[in-house]
Amino acid sequence: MKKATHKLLDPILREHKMSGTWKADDVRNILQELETYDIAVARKKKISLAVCIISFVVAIVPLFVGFFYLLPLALVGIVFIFLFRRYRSFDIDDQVRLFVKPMVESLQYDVKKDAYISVDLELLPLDNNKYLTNKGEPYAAGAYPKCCDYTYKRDFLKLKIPLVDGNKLAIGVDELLTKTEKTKTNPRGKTKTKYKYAKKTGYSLELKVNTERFSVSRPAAVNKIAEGAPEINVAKKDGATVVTGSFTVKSKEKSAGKAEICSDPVILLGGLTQLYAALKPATTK
Amino acid sequence: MAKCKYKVGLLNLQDCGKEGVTVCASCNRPVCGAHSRIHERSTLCLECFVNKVPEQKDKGPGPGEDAEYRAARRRNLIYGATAFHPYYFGRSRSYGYDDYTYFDDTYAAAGDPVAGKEEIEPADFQES
Repeated sequence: MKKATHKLLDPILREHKMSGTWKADDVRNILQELETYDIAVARKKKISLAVCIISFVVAIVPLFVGFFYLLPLALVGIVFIFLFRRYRSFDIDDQVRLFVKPMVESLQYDVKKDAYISVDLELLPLDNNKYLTNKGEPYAAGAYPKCCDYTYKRDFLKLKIPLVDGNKLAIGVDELLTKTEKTKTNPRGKTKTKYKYAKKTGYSLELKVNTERFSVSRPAAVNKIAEGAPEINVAKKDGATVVTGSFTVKSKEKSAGKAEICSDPVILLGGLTQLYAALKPATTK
Repeated sequence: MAKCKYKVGLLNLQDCGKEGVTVCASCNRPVCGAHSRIHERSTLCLECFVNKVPEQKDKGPGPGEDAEYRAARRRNLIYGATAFHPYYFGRSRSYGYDDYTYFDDTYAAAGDPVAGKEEIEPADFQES
């Protein structure tokens, strides 16, 4: 890691938030380093979990039978539990490398050279307690006597980018996650827990148009807005022409402990191109 | 060699502008090293490569790891799905006057003081 980038990365990792204004190249470098860091932490997490399980199986179970010479191995297992917990606290949301980084990569030539980009990006996974807004009352459903709904909400990303054609682009992504936890005890007395995740991602795009270069033609009314197709509006804001578009994408996941249903950068960039389709070259003098 | 004719960007296309090192076997445009890929023993520009090679066939460590390649793949997908035509802020969409002059007999490399000058002197003309 370059020393300059390392300096930028330190406060971001400490606060679990990337918030500030950077040059486009710096933003790309930071996202690259965050990806490298996340992959390294995930690998360490996996190794420490594996060591933990192996040492418990090899040492702790025989300890009960009286093989006390295996005690140091059990202690190693306990140390690795703490290491695993520590690495888990460093975990970065997968969306940073699977959604934000590819999006910035795709827009890298559209960003005005040497311009500053304003970024507000949450790094923690969405099902972190920091974003918990509501915990529902326990209820029973079918074979599951204990069920509970958790609601997480956050503004995941806010980007303000000056573009090479003079337009100014603002991107906003907000997320709402509902986690349903269902617990039952099977006939053998084992407790089984299932999770279900339903995520609603709201994308908002705003384009402040450079009227010297572009004019705006209001797009033809669309009867039914398809998922991923933004509803485009044209308005005047502080004397400037602003084209806005917003759309929502819903997704569901059924895996235990995995709340990271990643947003697709292609959906957002596709929405952005539809905003651009409302622009026409301004008539030349 | 001519400058790289690969167009970079998503919303606005611009010329790459780097020095070209090879010519695309499919569209014949000069491209730089970053925007060329080898496919079945021939060199293709990134755009032709993305159009010709399906994604499931190139999941190896080569192009799959490359940011330029991934951006080209995404761009291809977005343009295909939304039928979007980006604006171009460059010298020419295809080939311009400068490109045709490469085929002139009198063409000389840029920087050459005799570039574009006829090598025939008045004294060469003789009465017939």
